Parts: sequence; C-alpha cells; structure tokens
Amino acid sequence: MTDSSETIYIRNCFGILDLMPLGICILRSDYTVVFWNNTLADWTQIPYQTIKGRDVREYYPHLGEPRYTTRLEGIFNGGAPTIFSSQLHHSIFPSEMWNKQMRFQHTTVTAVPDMDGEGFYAMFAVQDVTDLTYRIQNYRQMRDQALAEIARREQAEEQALQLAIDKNRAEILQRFVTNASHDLKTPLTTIKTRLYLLQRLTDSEKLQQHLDVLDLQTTRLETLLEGMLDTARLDFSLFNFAEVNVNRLINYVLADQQMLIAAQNKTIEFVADDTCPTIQADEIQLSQMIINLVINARTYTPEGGNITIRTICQEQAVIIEVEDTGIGIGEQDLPHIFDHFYRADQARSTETGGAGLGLTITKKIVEAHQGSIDVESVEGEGSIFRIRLPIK
Amino acid sequence: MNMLTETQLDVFRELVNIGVGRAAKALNQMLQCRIHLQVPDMRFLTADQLKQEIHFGEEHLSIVRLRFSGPFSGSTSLVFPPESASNLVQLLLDEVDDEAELDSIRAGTLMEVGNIVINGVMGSISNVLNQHLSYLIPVYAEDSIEVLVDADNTDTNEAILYAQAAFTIKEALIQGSIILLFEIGSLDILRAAIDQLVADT
Repeated sequence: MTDSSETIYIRNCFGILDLMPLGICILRSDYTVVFWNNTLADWTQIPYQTIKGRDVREYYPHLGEPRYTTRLEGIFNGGAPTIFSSQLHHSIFPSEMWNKQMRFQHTTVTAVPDMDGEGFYAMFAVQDVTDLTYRIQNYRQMRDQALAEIARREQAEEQALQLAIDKNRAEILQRFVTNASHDLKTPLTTIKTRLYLLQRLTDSEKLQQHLDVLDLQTTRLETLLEGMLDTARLDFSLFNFAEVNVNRLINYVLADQQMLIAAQNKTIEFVADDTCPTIQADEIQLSQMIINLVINARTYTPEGGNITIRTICQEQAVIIEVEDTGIGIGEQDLPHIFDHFYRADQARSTETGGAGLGLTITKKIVEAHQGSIDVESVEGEGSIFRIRLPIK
Repeated sequence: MNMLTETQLDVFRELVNIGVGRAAKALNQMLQCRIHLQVPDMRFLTADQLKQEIHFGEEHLSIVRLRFSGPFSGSTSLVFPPESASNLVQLLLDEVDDEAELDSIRAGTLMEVGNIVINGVMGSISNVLNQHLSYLIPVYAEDSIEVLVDADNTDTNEAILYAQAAFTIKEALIQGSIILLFEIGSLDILRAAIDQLVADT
C-alpha cells in the first residue's frame, strides 16, 4: 500500500524530528496521529506504524476530556501554544522508565499549518523531567532535615543558656544570703553583748526591766532573721543533694543539744534503726530540720520530761520520729501549726522567744526532699512528730 | 504618544474580560479546586508610568511571557511577585511548604497557568479582530519590570496595556499583572482594526 500524500508530506516536514531527544506527536484536528517520533515510540512502546492514522484517544482516553479538548481546540484554530506542566498533569502520554517509575512530562503543544495550509495540526513536544523532579524532591528532603537539625540545635542552645542563667542566679542568691546573714548578725551580736554587760552593771530594778525587754526583743529579732533567711534559702531551692546517713546526722545534732537538755533537767534518747540505708538529702537542711524539732520538743517539755528520737527503716522510706512528754498541742491548733508565724499560745511563746517559723521551715525542708510530715498530739501528755523521707 | 479613545478603551476592556473569562473556564475544567478570576483594573500607561507604578524596584518578579507577531507584534506577560507566584502554585497543587521557593518544576506549573490566562486574552483579541498571529513558545523568567519593558523591540513611546489579574483560590486572593507590550506601529494597526470592528457593528 502506498503512503498517502499526507504521509509523504509529514515525513518530509517532520522526519528529522525522529532524531530529537523530545517525544514528538502530531495530531490532525480529528485527533488522528499523523506523526509519532522514535523517542515517543520508545517511551510508550507503541511503534509509529501501529498508531499512525489511529485516533490518539483510543490509546489515551483522557485526551478526550474537556480539560484537554478545550485547550486543543484553540491549537487546531491556529491559536497560541499551550503548556501541560508535569505537576498538574504528570504526563500526557503515560509511560514507564526502564526502572518502572512513571515518567514526569512537561509538554508544549503548538499549532503547525497543515498540508492544505488552511487548518492546523497540533504538535506535541514532550520533555521528560522525571530525573529533575526526583532530584528536586531529594533536595527538599535534605533541606527540611537540615532545617530541623538547626531548629533542634537552636533549642538546645537556648536551654543551655537558660541553665547557665539559672545557675548564675542561684549563685548570686546564695552569696546574698550568706552576706546578709553575716552582715545583719554582726550588729545584733554587738547589741546582745552590750545588753548582757549592762544587765549586770546596774542594780536599779526599773532599768533592769527595760534591759530585759531589750534583750528579749533582740533575741526575737535574731530568731526572726534566722528564720527569714532560712525560708529564703528554701524558697529559692538552694539545695545540695548528696548521700546522707540519717542516723549519723542525728547523732551529730544531738551531740550539740545534749548538754543544754541535761542542764534543763530533761532527758533525750536516740533509738536508731541500723538497717537504714543512706538517702539523697541536703545535709545542712536536714540537720536544720532535726534541730528545729529537737528545740521545739525541748522548749515545750517541762523539767523532768523526756524526748525520744527514733529512726525506722521501711522498704521505700526512712521514718524519723521526735517524741516528747511535753504540753502537747490543742485540737484547734493542730491544723495550723505549720503556718507562717503561728504560735498556739502567745504568752508562752513570748517566754520561749520563738518567731513561729520553725515548723514552717521544717515542713518546707521535708517537702523539698519529696517527703511528708505529720503530728500526733494530746494536750497535757505530749506530741510525736513523724517525718517520712523517701529513699530514692 | 497617542492614548486610546473611550470607545477603543471600552472594546479593549471587553476583549480582555472575555479572554479572562475563557481562561477561568479552562482553569476550572482542569483543576480540582474552584478558581475565580477577575480583572478589577485595566489601564493604558506609558513605559515610565508602568515602571513607577507596578512592582517598583522589585528585582525577581515571576514572569510568564508570550511573544507574538503578525499584523501586530509584541508580547503579553503575566507577572507575579515571587511570594505570590509560590503561593499560587502551592494552592493549585494543594501543597504546604513553608520554605517554598519556585524551583524549575514549580515554575512549569506557573507557566501553564500563565499560559492559559495569556492565551485567553490573545485568543480573544485575535478572534474578534479576525487577525491571525504567530507565536513563539512561552517562556518563564525572573526579572524586573524594567528588564521586561526594555526587552526586544518594545516601542517605549507607545502605550502599554496593564490589567490587574485577581485569582481567588480556597479563599486566598493572589494578585498578578497582565502586561501587553506593543512593537513599533503595532498599536496603530490594532486601533484601526478596533475602529473597523466598531464601524461594522
């Protein structure tokens, strides 16, 4: 069968396009294929001889949809070139690469005057952009990873900076507390010493009374100051945690208190549980806590009374008990004893000179150690303070 | 420089609106999401006026440009500021990428959209005036308005058609500019063709 004149015309005009690295397809206005170059035949595995003269929509039905026919109509009327991008269409002539990936195609369609010179063919020039597409995807992934890494490092930097600031703040505060404590105590000590001397130099009764009051007030001031500095230390969490042997610590504290207690005609006993392991604690704060409780017990126990300290070791915690045979705490006062500046008996505390902060501080120390404190008391018989400190 | 008469301006507006309407239809056929296209403003400006008013000083505008020749010659471009171009592409592709820049694949998408709009306008002009034009393959470039206006054989003494193109997709509004530049003598021929059209109706 001889080729039609159109086929000859096409081959003369467009034969050279077989050598192009683009896919070239030429359609007549009725969608029949008049040219299909080697590249396209290779990509689609459809030879020119097979598809020549056939309606392209038999092989590629999507080209019959309005979104394509509307635009191709413009081409067949000699209109401006039209573009089908790889992202909105993926491909015009779907085909696989050697590795079975579907090709991404960027296609430009131009109007070419037909053989008669009156109408137009539509020439599809198909560019394979598969490789480019994947490279760009890879680049984007790498960029995203890099950006995530940068964000992560910036966050870490910020945290480190914050930590350094906090540490600095804590150091400043610690210095302040130490200095304040020293600076304020010094004049107080001087006042007290003077008072002591004055008290003994004069024998006028009235003068003595005044001096007694002054003495008491400065003592109170001293105690108040001590308490305030303690709460400041606690509020700002200036703790140093280390392994502490509780029994040893209590013995150490008692060594100081023994003499004073004996001088007041009271007894103190320590019943230690030797199975107690060490716990994570701030040694100074813990000592302070024991001292507070012992002083309270001593203060509120009359002459001849007993104080007993016990340690009891459980699986998860160490229990410290401070028991006294003192005046006890009334039912109405029990809920408030840990409050700031609370004193059950105003008159009594004037005698004893306490600031009312001791138990507040004790509770704070216990809480800072993740522990708990509670109290049992019967008025006129005595009290037991029980502290529970977790081992971990 | 001769400006256009009221009648000629009206005809032009009509042509551009028809063209944009066709483009909107083609876009809606093609895309999953609904896209609304309008031309809120259209004027003729001198080259200097255009350079001053539109995207003044911006270096890297996203430009899709189609050159044509025939009875009248020149170029039609769709111009976006880079972020707008990037946003438009992302909306069309339903992508979310905070760091989006317009890489060559995404530029391909912008080319297709720009091409549809430009073809709508050019198709409208050439159809109604019964003039057949030849076209070059459309190109994508990133440049300033100055470079665009001074390219090729643009007659900078001649009036330039500037139309705002407002794309609304998924409640986002993206603004681009349609710029029609004429080579020496071309606008005169177009004016004559318009006058003929008006006379015939």
